Amino acid sequence: MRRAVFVGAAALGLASLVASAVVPVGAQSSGVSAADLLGAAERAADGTTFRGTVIVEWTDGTTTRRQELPVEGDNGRVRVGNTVREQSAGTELFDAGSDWVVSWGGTEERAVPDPTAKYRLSVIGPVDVAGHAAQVVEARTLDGQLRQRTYVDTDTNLVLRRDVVEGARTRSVQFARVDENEAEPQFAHPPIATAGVSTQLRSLPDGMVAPAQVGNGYRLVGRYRAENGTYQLFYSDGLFTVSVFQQDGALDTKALPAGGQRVRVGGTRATQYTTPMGAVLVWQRDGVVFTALGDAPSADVVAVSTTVVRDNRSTLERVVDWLLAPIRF
Amino acid sequence: MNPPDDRVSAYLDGVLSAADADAVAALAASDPKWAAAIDDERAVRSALRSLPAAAPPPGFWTDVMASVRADEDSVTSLESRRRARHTYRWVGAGVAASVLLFVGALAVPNERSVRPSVSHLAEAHSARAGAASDPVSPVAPVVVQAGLFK
Repeated sequence: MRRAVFVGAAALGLASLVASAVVPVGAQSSGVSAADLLGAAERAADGTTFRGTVIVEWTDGTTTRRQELPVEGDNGRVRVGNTVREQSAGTELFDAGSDWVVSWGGTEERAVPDPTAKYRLSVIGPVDVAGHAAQVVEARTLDGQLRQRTYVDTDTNLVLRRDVVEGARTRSVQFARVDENEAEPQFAHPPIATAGVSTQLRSLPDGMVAPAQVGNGYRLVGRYRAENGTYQLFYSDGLFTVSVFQQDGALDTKALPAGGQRVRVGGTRATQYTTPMGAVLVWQRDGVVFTALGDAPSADVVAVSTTVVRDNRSTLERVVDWLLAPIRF
Repeated sequence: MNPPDDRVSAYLDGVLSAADADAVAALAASDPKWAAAIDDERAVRSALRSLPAAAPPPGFWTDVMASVRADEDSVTSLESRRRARHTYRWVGAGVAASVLLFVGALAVPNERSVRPSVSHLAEAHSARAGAASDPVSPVAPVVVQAGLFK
């Protein structure tokens, strides 16, 4: 339901491009718009079974890394290794071989920004992905810089590959092999939810920040609190998403994984990691530990973090927050 | 005989009791020194009374009043001093409280040591992104969990 609302809102935004988004090659012959194609792709896995191997490639510094994982789909449930995600009961993540479940609650309608405010969408192709013909939805910034390619199976509308382009680097997730509607994967759902449920919030407690607009065109579309006390701000620019998590306490820098790069974000020292998902930034301020991550280009994650760092609290409020941080509940 | 004393002046001022006044009169009648002392005192008084009245120099009273006003300006009233002392007391209390709070904040051990689990946070993010139906997007967070962050 929640995903449907999110996708629906995004599709409405994309629909405004229909007239201009139909582009070259295969798309011209089929008359498929970028908005229609992405909307169909989002729904495809709900009615499809598939089994295959996915390759994740990303660049960490000057090193290109690659990871290969088995993936299965069963009408809305997607299994990667032992981890299964399904959309039917809210969004749930569970271990098919164990008994734990994590649920993400909240069915709010979120005002997702219109992606056409930042991007021009177009359809090209078809191209070959893992032996399947696929149309490609390209998203470019208004000044023409390529940001994302989404490869959609021309027969089943299943997303076969996704590239996020960051200058000369490309972060991609793609099927190396996929068999569709042939196998019937069975995922056993644990009978009891044993892990936490997060809830939607209208506001955050004192000392935590929730700017409505951040980075270059990202809008706050959700605030949540997990049972372990972690607060999540969820931002979207209509195409990419970034979350900023806030946790009370002092950052245990020794517990951070190796490989981080020390950077300054908005005048605050932070540690930045490059992951297959995208950039991750970790920093602390006034007794709160912040973690920003998302599927957006790294520059966008940094821009979002910079805005959050530069919150609009007065100096006195910051001093009070800092003083009270150790005793805040 | 006692020499003349300050009863001479009091006698002429008329402030002695009747007995004392009679005693001084008896002394003046019997003792030439007392009689001379009384005559001298009476002569001095008479001479002073005969002096003309002296007028103050021009501008004297103006200068006096200006001097008085200047003194008034430089004087802080007790009330204002009391108010200032009251204010200083509160400011002092505030500063002391702030210092105590500051020291207390430093002294209280912060036991909430945060170790952000990037893998779980990545999962939470991708769940919000509604990517469960996209077969490739959920893979990246899983790789994050498996390969980089525990």
